[in-house]
Amino acid sequence: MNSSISRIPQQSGQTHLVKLTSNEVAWLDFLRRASDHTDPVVTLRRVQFLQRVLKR
Amino acid sequence: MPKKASPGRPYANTQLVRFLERRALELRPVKTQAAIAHEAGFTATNMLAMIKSGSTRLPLDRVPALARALDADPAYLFRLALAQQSEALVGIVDEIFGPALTQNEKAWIAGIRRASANSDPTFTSKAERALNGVFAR
Repeated sequence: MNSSISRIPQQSGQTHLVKLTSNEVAWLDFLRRASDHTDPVVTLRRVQFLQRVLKR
Repeated sequence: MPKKASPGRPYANTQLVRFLERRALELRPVKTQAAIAHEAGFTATNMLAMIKSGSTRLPLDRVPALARALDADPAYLFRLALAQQSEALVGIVDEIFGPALTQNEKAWIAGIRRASANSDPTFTSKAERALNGVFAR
């Protein structure tokens, strides 16, 4: 499985490395495109949609 | 309504300009644009206004300070600022260092992992059709 290491900025300014799978990179790419790069927050409605899609 | 780029405002139609407009509006009850500019360390009094209008780009070395002044995610602001330089640069940085996640994106990845019971689901065109519109502002 291909993976990609990403950096997550922390409050203190330090970054932590998190491995993303190639599938997760695809999800991330979609999220950015679909939101027109506006960095959407996680809301209950959006999570519920996501859960329904992932359970199909 | 997105601004139109013009010879005097070549960066008017960039995501960064749209973000700055939105964020400045959100912060208006608590912080003036002058206060934001001061906190971000801009020595020229109209520099932030010029960036906000699209006349000039946000210098990359100003990103951390402006992110703090705007209470914004520095990874997100950096990506927007880099895109003003060149869209290709964003892809190059992602390729070399991996995509830098914002706090919201980190939460989305965690949510996907939880909802899928860590099964690493493939992103399909079916999922794309189902989710289009959910993330739009």
